[in-house]
This record gives sequence, structure tokens and C-alpha cells, in this order.
Amino acid sequence: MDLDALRTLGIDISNRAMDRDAARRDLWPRDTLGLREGELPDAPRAVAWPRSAEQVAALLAAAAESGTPVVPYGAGSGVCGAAAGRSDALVIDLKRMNRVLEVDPDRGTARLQPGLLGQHMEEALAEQGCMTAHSPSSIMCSTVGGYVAARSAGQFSSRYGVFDDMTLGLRVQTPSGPLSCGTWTPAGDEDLLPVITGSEGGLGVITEALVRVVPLPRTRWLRGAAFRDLPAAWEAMRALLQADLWPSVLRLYDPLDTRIGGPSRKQRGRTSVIRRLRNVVGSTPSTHRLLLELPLSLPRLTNRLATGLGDEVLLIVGFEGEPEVVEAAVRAAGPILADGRDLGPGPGETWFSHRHEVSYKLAPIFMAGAWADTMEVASSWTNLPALYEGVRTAIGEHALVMAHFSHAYREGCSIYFSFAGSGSTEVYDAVWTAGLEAVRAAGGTVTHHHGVGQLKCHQAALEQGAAVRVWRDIQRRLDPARIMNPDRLFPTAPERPGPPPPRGGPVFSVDRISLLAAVDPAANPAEIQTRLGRDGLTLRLPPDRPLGDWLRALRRGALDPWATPLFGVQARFDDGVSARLGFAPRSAAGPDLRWGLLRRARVEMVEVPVRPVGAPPTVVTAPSERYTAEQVRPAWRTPSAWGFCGPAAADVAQLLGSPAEDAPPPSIPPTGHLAPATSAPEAP
Amino acid sequence: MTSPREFEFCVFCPRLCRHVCPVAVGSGREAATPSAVMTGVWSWLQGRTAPGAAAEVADLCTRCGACTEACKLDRPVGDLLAELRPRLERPPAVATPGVVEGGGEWVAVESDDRRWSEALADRIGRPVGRFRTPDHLGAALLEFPAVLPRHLAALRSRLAGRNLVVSSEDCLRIAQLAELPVQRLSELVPSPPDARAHRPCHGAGQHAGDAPRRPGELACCGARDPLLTAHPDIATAVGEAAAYGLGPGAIRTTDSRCGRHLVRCGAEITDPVDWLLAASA
Repeated sequence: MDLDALRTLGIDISNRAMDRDAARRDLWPRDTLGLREGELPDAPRAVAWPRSAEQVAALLAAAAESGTPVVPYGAGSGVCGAAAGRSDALVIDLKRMNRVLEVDPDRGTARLQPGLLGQHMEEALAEQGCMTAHSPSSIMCSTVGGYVAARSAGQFSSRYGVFDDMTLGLRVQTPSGPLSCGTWTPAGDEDLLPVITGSEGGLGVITEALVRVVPLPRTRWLRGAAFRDLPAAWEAMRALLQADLWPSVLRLYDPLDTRIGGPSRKQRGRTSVIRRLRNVVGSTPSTHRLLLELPLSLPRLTNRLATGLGDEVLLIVGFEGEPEVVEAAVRAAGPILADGRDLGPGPGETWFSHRHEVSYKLAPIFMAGAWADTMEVASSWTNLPALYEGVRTAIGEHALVMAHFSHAYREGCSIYFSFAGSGSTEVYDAVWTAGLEAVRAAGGTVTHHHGVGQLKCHQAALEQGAAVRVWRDIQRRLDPARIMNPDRLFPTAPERPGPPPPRGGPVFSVDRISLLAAVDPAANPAEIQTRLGRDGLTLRLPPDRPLGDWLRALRRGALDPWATPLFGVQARFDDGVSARLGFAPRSAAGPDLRWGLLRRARVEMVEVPVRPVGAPPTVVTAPSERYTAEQVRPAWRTPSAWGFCGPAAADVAQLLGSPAEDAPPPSIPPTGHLAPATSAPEAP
Repeated sequence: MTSPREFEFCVFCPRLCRHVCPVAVGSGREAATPSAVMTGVWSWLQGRTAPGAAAEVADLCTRCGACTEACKLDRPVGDLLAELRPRLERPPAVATPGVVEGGGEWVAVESDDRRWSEALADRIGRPVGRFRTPDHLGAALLEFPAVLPRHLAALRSRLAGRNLVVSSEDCLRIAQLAELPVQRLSELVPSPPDARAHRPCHGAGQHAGDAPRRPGELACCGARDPLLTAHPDIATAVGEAAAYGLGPGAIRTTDSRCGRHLVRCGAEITDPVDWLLAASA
């Protein structure tokens, strides 16, 4: 690869040792462990800092010509080793492409460059009175491109969605040329946005993102509640989400995390024994080291002792937005939270003001000779207890483990396990092998929002199964020479026969806890509704044609961002091999291959959200001139009507005008049913 | 003796201050993040790398102190680097102090190619001598305590009994260390009233200027040692990013070293020397 030729194009490119050394690793704790022990991944051949999409294209052309692997690099905050060094590679560092290109608060969109740090993004948007509300704990050290490429989720995801949901359009440079996707997809082309998100640099380099922005909230309500045990708190979380109340914060800490990480005790004016011990330990390095080593070297015993601390757990709930809407939601949430003991605003406000500081705890653990890591998995509500117990038991054999639940959906929830251990990389690897196998055994997804990298590539491939063919098909088109971060995502394609075709129909099964129905995609929607009606359920998004056709035709941006059109899908390829996707309301096990699977295989089953009919009734009102749909979040809407369900429906509808009760939701066309003003703009 | 442990808070930190580091943000370089810089020096303390490699990364820092301000653990990154730097590299060569051109009690310390002693003489109505110092009175020696006293003594012998007027904070700091009477030029000439202020950085907690930093505005424009001298290409990238962050329109800075650097990097910015020369014309 001729670096000087690239320099003549004005591209800043370096093969200095300091630049190559810094690109050896991302924040995968295994490599942090390696750094401590003096064993690091290889340094790349060179690092380039393009300033435009044209410069990215020139770099890709040169790399393709010389067969040089390319690793796109943002801020290197990935924790799975996706961007770790490789000796033969060109690293394309995107941090010189870090500008906010345009903010349009009226349309609710912003055009961003990929190297923009999250903190700078929100600061710039706040100057114009808006935000993405994407607030990962890594916001200070992660970039827009990374949010897209590794499918990031922020702390307010239960109201504002994860970054996939916020992303409306992408511009990408691939070895085969430029690509526009999302709302920028050329007419007639397949929208590849679901495959670029989560691609971890494996298809191309993201050069621009069009994202949704919302007004800064005028008010914020935060509260802590103590529940007697996890199942009671899970029930409250699920009820809040399924009541369409849209909390902005919903964080549940398991018993150990409640005592170590949760702010409840402090807020109640008492200092726990563990907290006092931790303060003593933290104040003296040698004691710190000794007292950290002891429990971590006996993880089974420590975990068993921890279970004796009691079952009480802390749930933090928050609502934000327009004061009247927040008031209505809080009023409706009251009975749902009544099973818990009110701890007042303290725990929530303490969490909010320190929400980006948890990572400061990492360095002292590594300095003490130990290590720490996190595993974020997810499943449906039905599967959640088994997933929690299975993974906790598996990790607990090797490390001290606790968990919290902070990304919740109507259909399910993620679990964020935090664990710390002592010993070498062998112990570290054993923890991960056991943990990920337990996730798969419990039927969850192996990653909710940290992505795949080298850490989870084999388990992610197992999870996606034969659907990896969708990835390969698109990869052949966009990166035929496979120079883009090669063999990191889906290095192997383990194929099994897959599940047999479902029997019965048009409704194959119903999950009343997670409010999901597995249905025949070719069936008449009216037949499905009749069958579901017998169970007191109805499709949350009634299609205007058979679901398979409707989902294939669905355009990005056609539905409200808080709508979930599809949970799971099962399809069969021409050679008889089948694939089943959708083990959780959301997965970051690589790209979202469900949409590509719908187009490339015969669909046998789709799993879609349902809701109870009857009580409370749907309330319908005219669109408001005072509030935007994002502020009030109707269950469905057309240009002439908004419909609300759930316990706050009547109160919210009252805010908007004169409500009329009990209108059925309309059938929804796949091209969208929203007012034109909500559609995203074309790029200039 | 600095312990490697002092660096490990930053080595094992997930780069939580990178968003405030002007060099990391402005240059886009991973190597310039405070965490990477500290890791480079820590590796040398561990005996894994040569001092030259450690010096190369340590010199990416401008000692602006923004990382320490942002750090919840108050890690003194700039101080630790400054303390070790004399062990990593030899003191840079600085010019032997020259002679003052012209008589009079007052001396204009001219640190770039602009000549302003006559304009200053007109303004204050007294004779003003000229002292040329392209290396800002040898400010690059500030972190080398073994040689700095001798340099300060040489300056004192050249400039004793004169009132210095300086246009950069680096010159001010050296003059103060040399215990010479000194005054900022910005205190003698009015700044343009309609221009926005750029706040030059002068170390942790010492930000000067009259406006809070705006979102996107870097804590330092890159016009400081050791970055500026050791890595001029990277200092230029930082300056270009700072110029973009400042945006279009008239901007003023009280520090001519920042001003000249930012002008070279595309900013529309003036400094006290410009104000003086404009008033004189």
C-alpha cells in the first residue's frame, strides 16, 4: 500500500509507532488484562484520518487494490475486541470527521459525521434545544459511527429507543462504492440500513448519519421504589411498559447490585455494612488489593454469601417531557408501583447525577490485580427469570456477579451482568464461555447492545444460524474481496437443520406474558384477529394485507419510532435449511438480519406484538397542535386521529381535546400512515 | 520518584476525559488521548519501551489541564508528565538571549515577525526598546529544572532594570520566573469591542478571558509546548479544529502565540499586537 500516494491526496496518514500502538486495542477487558501483563494485539500497518467521504473512498480503493484489510475506528470504546489491532491492517480513524452538519429541530432531524463523540453531539444539539437522548455510560468516549456499527443503547432507551431506532438514514462508503440507506435508500433498492447497523466495520465505512432528535424535556420525574424481590419488580416493570406509559428511566438492581451499586441505602440515611467496608477498603491500596483478592479467589462462596443479604431490590423509575403529560403518566403509574415501598426522589436523582461515572471504578480493580467485565443479554419477559438464574449461576462459578435490568421493552428486557474475578486470561475466558453457553441454553440473545467483536463472534454466529447467509449475500455485493474487518463478525457459519415448520395456524402460539403471537405470515389478517380475539387479544399493529407481504413492504420511518412491527421470524431457504431469529426484543448479535431474511427465504412464521382488548378502552382524539406525537406517544395514529390505550389514555387524550371512546385502530399500510411533516428530509 | 501506580489510574481508565482533551479531539489521534499518553509513559516506567518512544507521546500534551478538570479522580496528568519529562528527553535548544535594541526603560518583547516597539512608544509616549525572542523567552525550558535557572539568570543579566511588555502568556511566565518587571500588552491597548473572545489556556484552572467556553470550543488551540515544538503537524491539526470551533467572524485573543497559530490555521482572529498596530496606523 503506497502511503505517500495517499498523502498526495491530502489524507493524513501515519505509520509512526505512537499512532500504530494506540490503535492496537479497543476497550475489550481481555486486552486491558493483556496490557497489564504486557501482551497486546498486533499494531496495524498504518492509521489514516480522512476528512471526507471522498478521502474514505480513496483509502478503500487503495486498500482493495493492495488487498489490505481495513479496520474502521471511532473512539475505540468497544468492549468486545471488534476494533482490536491486526498487523496487516489499515486503520481508518474517523475522528477528524466529527462535525454536526445540520440540525433541523422543526423536522426533528440532525445530520452527523461518524467521528463525533456522543458528549459533543448532545452539547451541540442542546444549543438548539434538542437532543437524541442517546445516553450510554460511554457517552464521553464513544462516537456516532460506533453507536451505529455496534448497535448502541443508551440509559433512556425505554422512552427514546436505542440508537438503531434513532437512525433514519446512513451514507456509507463500501469497497464497491457509495451506499445510501434508510430514508436515503434509492427508490427500488433494498434498504440495507438494518445490515449496516451492527456490521462492526465488516461491510463499509459509515460517513454520515441522519438521526432523529427530540426537544429537550421540560420536566423530569425520578423515583426509587424498594420491592420485596426480583419477580415482584419484574412484574412492575413489565406492567409499566405494557401500559404504554413510556418511562424514560427504568432500572432494576438485583439484590447484590442493590447493596453494592444501588443508591437506596444512602438515600435512606443509613450506610450499609458493605458500603462502609468498601470505603475502608478503597482508602488503602494494600488493603484494597488484599480484600479484593480474597473474595474474588473464592467466587462460589462469595456469591453464596451474597445471596444471604436479603431479597429486597431497588427499582428506579423516571418520566420526562411535557409537565402535563408526565403528570398523567405518573398518576397512572402509581397503582402499578404500589407493590413497592416508595423511597422518594433521592435514589433516582443520585443515579441521574452520577450516571456516567461508573467506569471510574474500573481502573482501581485492574490496578489491584483483578479484572472486571460486563455481559448484557436479553430475552422475552417469559424467559427472563430462567435467563437470569442460568447466567448468574454459570458466571458465579468463576467470578463475583451481580446484575441490573436497564433496557426494558413491552416484550422483554435486557440483563446487564457485572462481574469481577482474579486470575489470568484462562479464568476470564472460562467465565465468558460458561456465561454465553448459559445464555444460549436459556434462549436469550448473547448481546443486547455491546456488539459482537472477537469476544462473541462464535456464539453470535450460532445465534443467527443459517441467517448468516443473508450477511454473506450482502457482503458479496458490498465487499467482494472481504477487506472490511475480515473474519471478525461471523468468522464461521455453523449451520444446523434449523427448526421444523410450525404447525396449526393461523396463530401458532401466544405468549400472554410477553404479549407476542407467532402467526402464519400468509394468513388473512382478519382470520388472525378472529383467532386472537378468542384470547382477548388483538394485533398491536393491524396490517392492511397478510403480515409477510406487509413486513416486506414496510419502509423505514413509516411507523412511529416506538412501534414494534416484528419480534421474531422463521424462514426456510430453497435447500430446506431454516433459520429462526428473534430471541429478545432487541439483539446486537451483529446486524438485524430479520428483514433480509424476509426477502431471501420462504417465511414460515412471524412473531408480532399483541395487546389485550377491552379494558381500558382505546381513546381517540384529533392530533394536537400543542403537543407533538413524540411527546404524547399515541398507540396508533393517522393524519386525522390519534389513539391511546392503557391507564393514562383518558388523561392524555383529555389534554389534547375532546376524546371519543372506543374506535378500533385502523389497518396500517406499509408505506406509513403518518402526517407528511414527520417524514425525514433528503440529503442536500 | 514517580511511581508507575500514579499512571495506572489513567492507563486502565476507559478514556473518560478524551472529550475535553484539545489535542485528542482536534487531531483525532488515539495516541493523543490522555489515557494513551499516560500508557506510553507507563510502558517506559515498566521497562517495556525506550525513553524516546515515551517522550514522543508525552510531548503530545499541551498541559492545558482540561483532563484534570474533567476527571472525577482529579488525576494530575499534566503535572505527572512534566515531572517525568526531564528523564525522558534532553532539554530543547533555545536561543541565547540577545541584546535589547534601542534605549529606554521599556522593552517590547517581540516573539513573532511583527515589529511593534515603535507603535508602543507612540502609544505610551516614551522610548521603547526591542527584544527579539522567537522562542518566547525560551519557554520550552519550563519543564527542565536542571537548566532553567541558568537560562533565567542569562535573561536577568540582559534585561535587568527594564520594564518588559509581552504579548504572550509564555513570555509572561518566563519573565515572572526571572523576576523581571513585566506587563501584558493586552493591558495597554484596547481590544476590539465587537469581537468575540477566545479564551487561551494557561494551565489547569488558569483559563483567562471573559467568556465561558462554548460547546465544541477546544480548551487549547495547540499553540503550547511541548506539543507545538515537538509535533508541529499535530499542533496545526489542533489549531484547525479550534479555528473551526470558533466559527466565522471577528475573534480576539489576549495571547499572541495563540493568535498567530490560529491565523495560520485559518481563524479570523486578532491579538494585542494587531490591536496596537491598527491603532497606530
